[in-house]
Amino acid sequence: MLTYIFRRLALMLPTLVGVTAVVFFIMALAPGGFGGSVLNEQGSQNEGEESRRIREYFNRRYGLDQPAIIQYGRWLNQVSPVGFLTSSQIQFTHEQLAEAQTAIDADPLFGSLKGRPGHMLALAEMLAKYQDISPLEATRLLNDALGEASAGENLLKEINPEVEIKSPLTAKTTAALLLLELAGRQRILFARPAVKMPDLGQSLRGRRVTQLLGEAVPITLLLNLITIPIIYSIALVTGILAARYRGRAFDIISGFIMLGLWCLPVIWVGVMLIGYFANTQYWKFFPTDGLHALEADTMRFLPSFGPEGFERGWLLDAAWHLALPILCLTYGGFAVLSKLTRGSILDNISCDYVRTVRAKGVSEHTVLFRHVLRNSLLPLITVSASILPALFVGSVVVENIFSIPGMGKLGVEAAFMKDREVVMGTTLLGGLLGLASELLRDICYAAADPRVSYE
Amino acid sequence: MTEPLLRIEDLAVNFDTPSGVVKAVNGVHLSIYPGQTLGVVGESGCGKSVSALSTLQLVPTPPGCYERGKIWWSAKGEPPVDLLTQTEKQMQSIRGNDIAMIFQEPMTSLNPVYTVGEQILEAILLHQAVGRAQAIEIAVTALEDVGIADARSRLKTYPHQLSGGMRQRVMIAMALACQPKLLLADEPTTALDVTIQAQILELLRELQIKRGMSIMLITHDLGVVAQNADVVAVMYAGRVVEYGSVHDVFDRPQHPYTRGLFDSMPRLGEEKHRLRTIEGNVPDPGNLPSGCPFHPRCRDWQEDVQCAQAVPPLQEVFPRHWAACWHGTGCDQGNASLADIPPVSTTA
Repeated sequence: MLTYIFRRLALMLPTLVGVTAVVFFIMALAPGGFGGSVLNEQGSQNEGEESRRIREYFNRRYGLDQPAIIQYGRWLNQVSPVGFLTSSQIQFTHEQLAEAQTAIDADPLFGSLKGRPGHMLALAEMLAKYQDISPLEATRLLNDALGEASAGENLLKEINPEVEIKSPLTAKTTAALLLLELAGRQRILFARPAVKMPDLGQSLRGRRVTQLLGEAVPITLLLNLITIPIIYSIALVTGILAARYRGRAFDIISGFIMLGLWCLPVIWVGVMLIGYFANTQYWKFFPTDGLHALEADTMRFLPSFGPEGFERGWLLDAAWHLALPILCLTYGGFAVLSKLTRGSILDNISCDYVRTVRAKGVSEHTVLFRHVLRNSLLPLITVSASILPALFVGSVVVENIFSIPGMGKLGVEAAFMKDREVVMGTTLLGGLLGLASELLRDICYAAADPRVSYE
Repeated sequence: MTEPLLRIEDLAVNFDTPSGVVKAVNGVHLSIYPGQTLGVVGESGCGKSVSALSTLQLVPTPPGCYERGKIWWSAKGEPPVDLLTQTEKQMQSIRGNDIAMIFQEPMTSLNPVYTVGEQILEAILLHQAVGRAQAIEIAVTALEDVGIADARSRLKTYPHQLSGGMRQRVMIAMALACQPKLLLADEPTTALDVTIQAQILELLRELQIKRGMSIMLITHDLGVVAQNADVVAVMYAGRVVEYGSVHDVFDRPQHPYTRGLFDSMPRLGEEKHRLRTIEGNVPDPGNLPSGCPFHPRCRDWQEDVQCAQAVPPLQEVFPRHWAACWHGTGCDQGNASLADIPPVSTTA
């Protein structure tokens, strides 16, 4: 069993690479490329000076000026826990930085660029990271570059071979150009293989992707953790009852209702629910969007009676906001599961072993719950593995309709913006979840069915 | 003469199917005496299994329906009770306790997700007032009785880890764990290969002698009947067509169908290139021919006899030997009443 799990885990790696590669290259090869919509926000045909600057900055930050395959390699290196350090990941100690600061303070050349002593240290640090040298060495290199125009030009060319130098370089212009060229620039330091923290990178707007995911995942998780038990309990209960009273009124009516609900598209239902239940002109029963009211932070946790009468409190406020989205996520979900439970029970109830159990004198109740149900649940394990990723996808629509800042909304917005790092972050997380739930399903299978063994 | 343990009187079971009512069992008379083995022979679909399942009220209803008849069960010297009128609750205390049943397919007749031990314990704990530890001892004994070595560790195995013969032994152990008075064996050896078949039948015979229980042995194998049964009932199209002790029926089969069955069997030392078959097919139980259901296939059928008009009753053609044929060849003993048919004793 352990060997099997290890083998499966090892197989997850190439699968994940495949999943991310497909998404990456579709995005990279799409017209406009990464971040296209941000750059051409005004829809202008000619790239303005500002857009050009932003593009150059993004080029430096994400290496967008390189071929897609190299970009993908860089991204893989970035998210892999084993790989090469990038220049931005190098951290200097206080002592090293203090050393450099002393060198800068002692040097008259840096003194001549006074007014920006902090900038000098920052520049030295950036250069040190980019060139993978110590800050002290970087100050010496900087000293040469600022002191002599040709040395400065060489250093600039080394960092960016395409840099255009129009006017003769002074110390000040060299410093400014170096600062511009080094800002955000990253380089993979092949000399430094390392076991490192996987880094999901930075979104176009500048926030870390891990931070964005950290905010969105709990919200989607909350939705799913409420939705899945509701779906399962309804599906199991109705499925069992429908099988028990096969062909009777309950079976037919429940089957009819479920199929009907299943046929209603979430997009339409969501909009209708808002239109009727949240519209101020109809029944203003529920809020239209969001997870909390604006003043939720000042509420007590539980409902209470205050000076202004009933206060619903934080918990009830959240429930009130979640009611419609949860309704949307659940109403169609149990139809398939319920039908599957019913079919599976009926399949099993006519099995030979059930006749044996009855012939032993076991009561009908025990036959159903101890013997039939136990066997009937096996196919449900297969389906439940696909429910988790499916709810992730399903919540895309619901989260967007109800403006809930969860994973679905984050992913869709990132896709519209062509925000490479965020899209890749959600893809990676989704892929991992999907593969993990499949592995979990197979382990559950082995645990639930003694006939299944992976030895 | 002792009371029969089980007496089936004029049992009729119908199935409602989309293509009409199927008369699976249509007036069956049988009785089993204590310690006796009744062999029930017939082709597939002749109502053997349904008769046995009716005894335990295990025919699925719907689509099944007990049309008429009585199944008298008299255990412990009490007045006979009609099993068909018992409530589900009463039946549950009879099933597996007084009357146990084993089935044809040992491969699928055990619940795949529970261990052998759990499944045997379930029956024991249900019917006997014993604790779990005691029940385990009973289960171990039951498994040892059916010749399973290392019984204690076998309790922990799952059905799929056992061979077909072993599973059938487990089925028998499970059925016999509560010391039933009657064992309904529905083609217990059909799915097994010949050597295992012989072992299982041998085992059943031993256990029967040891415990003095009765067995209703349902089979389509005349050889199995000859070796194991005391009394044989030949069934055709939902009716018993011939009934008598094994010696009588095998020595002088009275019904043309029985004769056809014997003719279609190869005999040792006899040189035959081709076996003789019974012409035609088993009639569709949803659409039985008029009169004697066998008459379209019968070699003795003559236009002038009432074969095609009326169903022949089971008549005593020889002492303690009944046949349902208008061409009764033996001494006509008059009309034996259907109700007390047929007290064939085991000690023949």
